[in-house]
Amino acid sequence: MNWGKILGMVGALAFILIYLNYITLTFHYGILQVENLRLLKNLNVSIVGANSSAIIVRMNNPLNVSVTVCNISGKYIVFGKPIVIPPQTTKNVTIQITNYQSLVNQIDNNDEYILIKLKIENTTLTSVNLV
Amino acid sequence: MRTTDRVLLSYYVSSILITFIPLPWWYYSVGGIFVVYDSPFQISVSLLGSNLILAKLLNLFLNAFRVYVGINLVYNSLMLVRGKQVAKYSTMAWLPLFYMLDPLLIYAVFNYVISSVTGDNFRYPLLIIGVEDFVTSYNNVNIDMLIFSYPTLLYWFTFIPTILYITALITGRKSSKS
Repeated sequence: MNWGKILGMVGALAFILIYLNYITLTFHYGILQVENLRLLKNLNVSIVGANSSAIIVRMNNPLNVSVTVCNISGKYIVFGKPIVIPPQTTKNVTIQITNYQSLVNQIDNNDEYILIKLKIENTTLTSVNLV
Repeated sequence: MRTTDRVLLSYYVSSILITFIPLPWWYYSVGGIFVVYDSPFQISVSLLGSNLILAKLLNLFLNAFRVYVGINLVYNSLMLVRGKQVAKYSTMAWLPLFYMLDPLLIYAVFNYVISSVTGDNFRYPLLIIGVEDFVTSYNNVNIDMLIFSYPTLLYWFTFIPTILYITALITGRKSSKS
């Protein structure tokens, strides 16, 4: 132990003591933020309108990054161009139905699968779900 | 002043400069969702685009470490100029080398800790520098992530003190023999 190390320790401790108030406050908000992140759902999706030729879906992006809807498709469902949902905004997405009667039959037979592809930054999420 | 001391002094001065540059040394991104910018003296972590406040807390303690290292370097260089040098302060010489451990640490956390939670099909790539494609699945969702791990420009400059320190050691050994 030389004087340099002792002075260094004193300096570092003084630095922490200056921000002592800040530490307790930050810790409180930090825990709060982590809890909020856990509550956060990826996308809030709700159907706003539907008829025999299209389904209109409202998508809310609660994140601070934009989410790109690359594809939503099934056997009788068609999705146009990829749609970018900017951070903390809501957008309506229109999904076209090519053949309504066949789609209804497929759903009745438990045979309609929908592929959903989302992109967040450099992450691509793909899921195939039974309707 | 001997040559060894001059080299050692330049090691201290360059170390002081690098210590007080408030820029990160390394950039690490898991699919753009989890992004870390860090150096031994500072860190910022963002998760889904929002900065983690708990990382700011860690940042404070790392900055205290910056103060500690800075005071040591200033003290040692002053002692060297006065000719009353006791021991060499080598921390800044090995910090950049030690820094390679950072990606290894993240690898260990992701591959062993998270895989125990999510299940067997989780194989995180070991990546020190570069880009890697990482594919996994969770709850019927296929996840494809691009993982980036890059040193910043400043990181390469942190090797200047290391080189100067090694030079000082070598010249010191030569002059003590002769």
